[in-house]
Amino acid sequence: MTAALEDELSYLPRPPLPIPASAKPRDAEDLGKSSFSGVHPMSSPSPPSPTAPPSPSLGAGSSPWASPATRPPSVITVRELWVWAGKKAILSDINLDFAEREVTAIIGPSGCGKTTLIRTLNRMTEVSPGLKVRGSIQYKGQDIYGRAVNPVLLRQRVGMVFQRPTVFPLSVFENVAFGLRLNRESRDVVETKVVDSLKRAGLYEELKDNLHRSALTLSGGQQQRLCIARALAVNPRVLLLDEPTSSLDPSATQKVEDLLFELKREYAVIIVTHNMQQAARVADRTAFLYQGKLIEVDETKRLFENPREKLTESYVTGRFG
Amino acid sequence: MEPAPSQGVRPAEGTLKEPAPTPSPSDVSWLHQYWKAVVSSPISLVPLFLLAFVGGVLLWASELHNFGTSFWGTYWNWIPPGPGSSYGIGYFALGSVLTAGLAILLATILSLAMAISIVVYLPPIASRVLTLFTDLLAGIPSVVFGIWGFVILAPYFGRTLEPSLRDALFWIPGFGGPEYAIGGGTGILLAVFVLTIMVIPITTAVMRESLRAVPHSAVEAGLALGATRWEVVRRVRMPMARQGISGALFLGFGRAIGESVAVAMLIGATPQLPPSLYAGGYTIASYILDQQDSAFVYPILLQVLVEFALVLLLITLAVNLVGHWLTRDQRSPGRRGLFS
Ligand SMILES: Nc1ncnc2c1ncn2[C@@H]1O[C@H](COP(=O)(O)OP(=O)(O)O)[C@@H](O)[C@H]1O
Ligand SMILES: [Mg+2]
Repeated sequence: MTAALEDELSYLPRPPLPIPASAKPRDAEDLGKSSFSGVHPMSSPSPPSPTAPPSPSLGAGSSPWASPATRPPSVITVRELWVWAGKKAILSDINLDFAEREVTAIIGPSGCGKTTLIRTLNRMTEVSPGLKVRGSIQYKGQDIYGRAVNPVLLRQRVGMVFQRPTVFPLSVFENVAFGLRLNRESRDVVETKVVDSLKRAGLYEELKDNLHRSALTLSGGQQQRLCIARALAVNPRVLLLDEPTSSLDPSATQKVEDLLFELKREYAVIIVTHNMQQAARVADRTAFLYQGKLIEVDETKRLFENPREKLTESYVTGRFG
Repeated sequence: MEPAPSQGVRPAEGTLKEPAPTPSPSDVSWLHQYWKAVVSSPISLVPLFLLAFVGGVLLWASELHNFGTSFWGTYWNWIPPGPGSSYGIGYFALGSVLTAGLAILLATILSLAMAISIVVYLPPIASRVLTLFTDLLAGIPSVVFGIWGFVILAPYFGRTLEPSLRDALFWIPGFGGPEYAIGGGTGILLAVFVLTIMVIPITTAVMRESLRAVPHSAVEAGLALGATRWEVVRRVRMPMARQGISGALFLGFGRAIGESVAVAMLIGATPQLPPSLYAGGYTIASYILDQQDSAFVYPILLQVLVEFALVLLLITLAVNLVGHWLTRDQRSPGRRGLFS
């Protein structure tokens, strides 16, 4: 095993939820068990593990919404996504690609469906009662709403940070270790990954003297970065952030934004913000959402300086919102 | 008595001294806190009345002479009353602690399972029905539980359940013992069983509310980290509700140890070191109830019963205080009292 592979696979998933026999092997292979590779860290007796690459099916290249070849490969592909709350469409016909190693911002006035959109990406919409999700969302070519997909593994691949810091009333260490403990990692692995995640989140230097202090004693900005560290610990590929700085002061906001630049080297970062300056500062691409519809998505610079749609123009120039 | 002056209120007419500076939060003593609690809610006076009552009984009891080493022992022989008689609370205290302790152990397991089902797993209608059911259970008079246990459960316990338990589990301490101990079915095990049912409403209600009080954001954070529903219960909800859950334990224990009627009807009224859980026992509360009539014939017995009551009062007071303190977060602002 190469070092890189070792890295990916040092994460031993929990035994997956039972996979229905009818499950497509492709689904079973990735989100149903372990991701990113045909090699299984834990071999399961049921579905044979094909070592062939994932089937191309709806890859970015074959789709009519494909981005130019120069763009990094897309990790999440949203097609014809509708979300209904009863008879009300919260999201209508969203088509969107999220690329690897990029920060994508989702902007739009409050209530336009930004939170709902990113919550569909890791199936957190299932937690809110009364929402109906239709359409397709693919994570690395797999339909995340497929029957064989284990939402538990999906959520570790597609991590999420909420609007307000949601630290557990545990120590700093245990907060970061939370997801690792779910995976029953060994003590050594937990130890290294906690430290590593804290370093990635830029918190280690500040907190290394006492990792066992209660996380509730941290400042709001530190708590939010701790939430990021906590999500990073389980080895995600995508990080969803829902207005992560809306409850932070400017200097804490600055720190989180700096962190996003670091994170995009390794992760796909999707950030919801109602702060257009923030989108302009941190995002490579920006999507403008209005009343549940995707109005425009483009390189951030273009979207702000030379939008194609009138609606986008009036929003980014502050005429409403 | 006037309420304590708050900041910005002028001192009463005729006061010559400057009002004392308002203490900063750091040097507010617990006494001051307590005073504020008393002023803010008259309910807070209840503990004071209780303490006064305890003090009064203590004063009265100090005229009694039974609090000696023999009182805390197990030797029990008060007939004929006189210099040679002895009144040890030992077996009664043992019975009380044993029945209440076992009942709370069973009730904790069952209540936790029910509270988790109600809050997390059951569909809304089912959880409302289960909630109603447990709440109704709380309203059943203990004498009804007693007669139910005596008429319906006792024969079943004596003929079927206890003999087969004894056959199967004899190797566990308490579940073996002599066959004669089973008797007609009344005994410690039956008392424990009925007590468990009687404390389940309170333990379930308190656990349910503390599990429900865990913020939704924490639950979502757990799910977003890849926790399953059960793992969220296990690693987010239960730890965050730990205080309420242990509070429920104390409140339930207080309820169980104070129960007299049902226990008196079911425990088999035998002050002894029970040879097994099937054997008869006695508790402090049920003994007081049983002997109330004889106490009018033998004045010394009345004194003993008062002392028993005093011990019981102190135990329940302490246990309930701890329970209330642990569950203080659950009380709504409208009912703020001493502990919130
Ligand atoms: N679970 C739900 N049930 C019903 N309506 C919902 C639900 N979640 C969100 N909505 C509605 O969907 C719309 C978009 O909400 P949201 O995605 O939170 O917007 P944003 O994050 O852009 O402010 C709002 O009008 C909100 O009321
Ligand atoms: Mg939102």
